[in-house]
Amino acid sequence: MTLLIVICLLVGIFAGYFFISPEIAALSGDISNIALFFLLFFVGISIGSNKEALKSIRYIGFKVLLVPLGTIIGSLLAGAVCSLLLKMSLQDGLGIGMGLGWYSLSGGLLTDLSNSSIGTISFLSNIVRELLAVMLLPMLAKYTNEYTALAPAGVNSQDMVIPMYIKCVGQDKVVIALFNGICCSFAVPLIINIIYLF
Amino acid sequence: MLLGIGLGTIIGNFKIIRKINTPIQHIAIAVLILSMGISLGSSSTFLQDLNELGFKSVVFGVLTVLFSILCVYVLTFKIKPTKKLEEEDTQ
Repeated sequence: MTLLIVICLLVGIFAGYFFISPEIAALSGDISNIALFFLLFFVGISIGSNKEALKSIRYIGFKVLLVPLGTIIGSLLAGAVCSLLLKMSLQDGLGIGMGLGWYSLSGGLLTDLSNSSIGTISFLSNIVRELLAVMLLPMLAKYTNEYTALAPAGVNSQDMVIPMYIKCVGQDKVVIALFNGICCSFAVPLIINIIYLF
Repeated sequence: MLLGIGLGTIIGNFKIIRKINTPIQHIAIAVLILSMGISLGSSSTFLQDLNELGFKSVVFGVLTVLFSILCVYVLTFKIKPTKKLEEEDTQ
């Protein structure tokens, strides 16, 4: 999937730079809007149909909510700090920070809500985040706790980092990762849209 | 998305929905990224922007990870590790 995404991005950049006129390129915003609606709808179906993860909260308790909560607060704070350091608008800083590792969605969403440069920063920064999530997980699991180990992963804690999480923390804790991933998946489009309402 | 979640709880267990869900998500992501690439490539300042965007992306990537780790750790460092599900089931 990652390879497909990189190929699509490179083909798009190549086509946009060499072949496609600015008038036609302007239509890409409408096309990405339609794709975005489809994506959100079917992500919603994935979340709604994952009843096992939702049921399992009773085993762990509502303290599991602290993981997505901390991840979201930390990401928004980082976005605000980055906007100051890099002299960007607070809105764009918060929007990029709120990608939570979901590079495909946040990149497209921010291209629509702001501009293609912000969308690209979001896309690339969330790829960096995903890489760091996988690389840091063993160290965080060893020196912090099973919850903090998931903090860098955000949305990826329900797919990409699960094998590593199971290896470092244990099979029985996987529901924490799934639940965190579901909460983050729900929060990304919701909070980014709220940020750009104002 | 909310409509999807609502529908997912009702029709999410149907085989056909499970079968088409992932391919449709992949197609939507491909179209989304392709149009983002087109939009980026068609910018007249694309090559100039590229260096700057790369640096900013790394700063955002590293700081969001650091701040998330700090916040989750501050919120959870006093919580004891969860017990195994089987242990809790027998209690």
